[in-house]
Amino acid sequence: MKKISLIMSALLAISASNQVYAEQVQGKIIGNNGDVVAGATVKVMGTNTLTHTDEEGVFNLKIKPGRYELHIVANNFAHKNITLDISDNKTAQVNVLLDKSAIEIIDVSATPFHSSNIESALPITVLHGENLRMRQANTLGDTLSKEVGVHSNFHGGVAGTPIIRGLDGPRVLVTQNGLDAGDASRVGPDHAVSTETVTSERIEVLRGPATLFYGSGAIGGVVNIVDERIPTSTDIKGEWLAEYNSNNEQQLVSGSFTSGIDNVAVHADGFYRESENYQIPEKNGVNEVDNSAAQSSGFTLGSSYLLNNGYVGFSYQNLAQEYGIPGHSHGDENVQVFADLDQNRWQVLSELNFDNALIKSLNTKFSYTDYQHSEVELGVIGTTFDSESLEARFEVLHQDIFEWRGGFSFHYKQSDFTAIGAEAFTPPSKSESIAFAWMEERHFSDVLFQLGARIEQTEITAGKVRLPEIELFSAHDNEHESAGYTRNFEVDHRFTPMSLSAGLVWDFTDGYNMGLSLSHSQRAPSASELLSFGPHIGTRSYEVGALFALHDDEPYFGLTEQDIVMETATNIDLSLRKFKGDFGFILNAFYNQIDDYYYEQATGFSAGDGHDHSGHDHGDHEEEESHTLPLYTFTAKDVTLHGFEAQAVWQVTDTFSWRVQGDIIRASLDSGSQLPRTPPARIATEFSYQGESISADLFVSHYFEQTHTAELESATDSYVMVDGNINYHFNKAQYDLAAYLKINNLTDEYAQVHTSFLKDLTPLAGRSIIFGLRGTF
Amino acid sequence: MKTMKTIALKILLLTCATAALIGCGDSDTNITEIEPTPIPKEDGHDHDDALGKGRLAIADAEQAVIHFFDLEDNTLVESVNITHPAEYLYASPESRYAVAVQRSVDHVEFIDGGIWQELHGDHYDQHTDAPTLKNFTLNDVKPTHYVPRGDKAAVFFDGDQETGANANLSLLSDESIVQETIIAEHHFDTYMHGTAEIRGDFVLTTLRDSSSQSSLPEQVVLLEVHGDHFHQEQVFEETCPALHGSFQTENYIAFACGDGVLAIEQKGNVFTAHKIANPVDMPEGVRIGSLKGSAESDVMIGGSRAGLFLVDLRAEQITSFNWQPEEDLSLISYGLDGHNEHSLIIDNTGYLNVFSAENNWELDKRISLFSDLAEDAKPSIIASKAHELIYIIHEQEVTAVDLHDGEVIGHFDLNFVPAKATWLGVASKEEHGH
Repeated sequence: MKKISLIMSALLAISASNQVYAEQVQGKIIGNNGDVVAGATVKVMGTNTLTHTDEEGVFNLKIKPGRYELHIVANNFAHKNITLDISDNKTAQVNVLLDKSAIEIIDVSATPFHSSNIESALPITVLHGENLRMRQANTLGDTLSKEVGVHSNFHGGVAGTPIIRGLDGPRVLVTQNGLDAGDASRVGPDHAVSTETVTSERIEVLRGPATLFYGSGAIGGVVNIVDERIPTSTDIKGEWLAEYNSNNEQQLVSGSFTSGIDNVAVHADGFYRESENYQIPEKNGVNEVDNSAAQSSGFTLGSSYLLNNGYVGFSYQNLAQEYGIPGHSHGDENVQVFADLDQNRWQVLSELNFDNALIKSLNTKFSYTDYQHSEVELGVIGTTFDSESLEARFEVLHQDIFEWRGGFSFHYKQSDFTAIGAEAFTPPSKSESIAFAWMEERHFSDVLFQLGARIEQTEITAGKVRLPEIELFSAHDNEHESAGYTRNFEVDHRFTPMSLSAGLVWDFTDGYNMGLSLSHSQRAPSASELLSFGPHIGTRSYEVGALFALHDDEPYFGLTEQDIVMETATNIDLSLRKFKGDFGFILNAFYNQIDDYYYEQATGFSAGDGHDHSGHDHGDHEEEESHTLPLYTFTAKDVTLHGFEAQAVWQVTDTFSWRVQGDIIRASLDSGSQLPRTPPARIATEFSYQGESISADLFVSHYFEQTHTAELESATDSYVMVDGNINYHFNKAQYDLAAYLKINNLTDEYAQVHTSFLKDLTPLAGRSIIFGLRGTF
Repeated sequence: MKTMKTIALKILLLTCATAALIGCGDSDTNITEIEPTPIPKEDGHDHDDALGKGRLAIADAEQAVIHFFDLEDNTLVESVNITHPAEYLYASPESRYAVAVQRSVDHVEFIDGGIWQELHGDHYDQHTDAPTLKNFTLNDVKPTHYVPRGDKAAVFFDGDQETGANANLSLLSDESIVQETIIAEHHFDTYMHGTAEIRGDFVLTTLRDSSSQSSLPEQVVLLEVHGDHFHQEQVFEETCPALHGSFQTENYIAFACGDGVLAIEQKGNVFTAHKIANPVDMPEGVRIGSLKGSAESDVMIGGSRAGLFLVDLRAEQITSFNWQPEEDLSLISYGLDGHNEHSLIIDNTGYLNVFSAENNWELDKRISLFSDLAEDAKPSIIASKAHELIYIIHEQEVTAVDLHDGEVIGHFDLNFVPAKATWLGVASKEEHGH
């Protein structure tokens, strides 16, 4: 905390030395139907300066003389950028005409330029507002599973994490306000993401390599959960929600509040959620998923000091979750395993604008996260994952140079990870990375160029990496090697991953654009991919890191003779967007060639699950086999992923819209076989009604059969999911209230999720009726 | 326009060049092999290897010293000085501390054997420290019987007829020794050579009529622990004249009396007592004065001057224990193994006879230890709780015996005259779990 207060005072000192001399800009925003647009956001590009239009569509800004680009954003309209010259002692007057748009356009904070999803070369999806509230589920993966290009690895409703274009785990970074979530969710599919969606404002999904902004962990994409924990305004704002789900008897309450006095803004939010086991459509006499009950609660407190040129703020968050891990039975079906996680997170964020010849703005982010996650079996802690992480990021945006907008970012990240107990398949390790990145963009008439490069140095050190001599069981050979000693190693890996990217967005005709993104990114393999050696019940496998290899003659494990290399991805992404008018669409195609892709290769052997069965009779070989797990080794091979995503929206009337979307992906090793758990193709349609007091939505999705399976993987049947919701909006004593009813899986379809490690054990929930009330003020 | 683009590209090239200098795209791995660790085997009793064999604490017969031997390599770890020579030496309930009872000087000292484990979150940290004398002592009058049961032990102070000091009972555990305190104590209103059996929150202990001539008690009383003291719950009507020796199984608590064995059964909070009378053929002047056995067997072994008896608490019968596999064998020493699964008798031919509790104390195996033993030889049997090992101290030699394999696995010599001894270390789980 002392460190954080030092950081805070340093930031305040920087800002205090800065004074702004500014000229007045006044403008009016009008829609192409002639109506004024209230509540539009007007932002001065490349700075943190922004304002909103009033009821008359009028805005006022103070900026110093110079040449600027204003970025104007309003709901249901296409964004617009206008260039403006401000000269001394003159009030500039501008009128802006906005075009209607059926496609939702929203600015994203996950990229340093904060530009919109439409103006990015890389495809970005944003889930926010009522849509977010209607789709939010117990887990992040399940919340995002309706987004194009995103699937959930559905782990029995308790620990689903998002899969972006077929990639997850250490390739998809989950961030909260742009900083690593700091949990163990990247290590195992049964580990929940420790950031709550209920109290978040919006979720941004960057589909494709985002290593440029986020480093190694983002080679497959980024999910950024944005909330107002560090408030940027003292306006009184609040939201609360209470909801009940009939399927798992889930009760959920949440609330958030932001206010302030003078220059000090404060924020508080909190939530509580409790559910029982969830029900599934009956099959073979089973209509419930055992051990899928969960309970979680958390709160966040934050405050910030608002300055003329920005803000400095800090926050504290505590989150506690307890959930059953379905299928995590450790051999004995009656023994249930629970996860108990606790996270404390401190954060400092600041955005400052400068009236300086060189620097336009400085964005600073720090976080310190202390995370602990225990797996509890029969009241006894089996395994504890402990992670302490520290992250710091500085983004310096320079003044425009020959109209190039851009800046540098400096990024430091450190984490100390330990796992102790029966499932401690990864030894304690420390990862440290330091990176420097550079990004620029510029409009050349109709074309926006984006360029970037990043260099990172990552070091993974482990004091004691274990290589136990294990008994290997194989189907055709019952001989097994006898156990003896565990060899130990001190390991120090250093990687220097490099990312280069170039993109362009070409407004080739009015209301359309085309995006092209080329990137070359490298990823340092994670500690668990390199150093693991042990049973991992979450993936139902015995995992051996890439540091080790199976030597064939008389099968035994030794150090690998291969070089430990980085994963290198070359990605081409093409987007075509129509974003003006009552009909809009976004089409994306991508081709991602990943060299030295680390994946778990089946060995045909199995090894002990690490659980103590002394006291059982050991004479029986079958008994031994039942306590073993298939053995996989992390191996680097070249793979290719390619796919296509499409979404189209027709705003049929002012109140009614119809959307169709779909995605398909292929993921295969260059040697020919398929990667496991690749998302199936899917097509969906959505009917939305947005009236004065009633809004309603019907979402029907068809998941195709997945027959592109890896070795030893079974195909998964197709299914149709029908979800709907209706909201009734009303006012009571200045509160905006909405009573709502959601029905998920209306037809009570039995659906298995191909991307889940537990697809046979945990089908999707059966029909769920959810009702709730929420309010804003 | 063109110049601007060139500048941007130049910057890009420059960044790349800088990157190349510091090793763009490099991977470097350094692996150093360090000391390997032996891993516990996954099968059977070898599982306990990780726990180690522990230490042997042996009191010096001539000096106020306790010697500690490392049983991994049979070497002396340390000789710890205590205040007075130890007349009895016991292990604390969880075998971390040696309890040195100095009866004639009213003093009990505790020596940390150094081998213990500490619960650290979800796992145990194993400690192997040097043995050290604790500052904690007990100083009541004539500490004599020491009865460990589960994670607690009762220390009975007899008091003194001469000085009029009353008897006293203290309850302690390894944890209380760490905290240098006792859990609870009870003061009697007279002296007696008594004993106690701990039964959960209850303690069954002895009562003596202060007008009695004998220093031995004749009644049993039920106490219940309340914080740091006891409440008297019940005095059993059935008497137990000249009470000496006690033991308990899962089903019964038994006290040896001059006229038989007092058997007490517990059902919840209700305790009932009845007497099993000495058999009519028991010679005059013979009585059972000690009871031993296994928690899982309702047949206890009673020791008497005239040999061993089997006390069947269920059948309410006392019979001679005809343990001799051959004629003309006589008992030299007798004891039990660390988990009370076998009773052990050393006979005059130098054999160790192993009887299994599971099989109603039938002879399991015989292990040759010594050539013939003199009638007055006093080898002592020290049981280890970590393994199926026992240690026999005979004269100035220690013999290690593996009961599972039925063989002598080692010897080492002592350069001092040994008195009492006990095993210290981390106990393994019992072989035959329930």
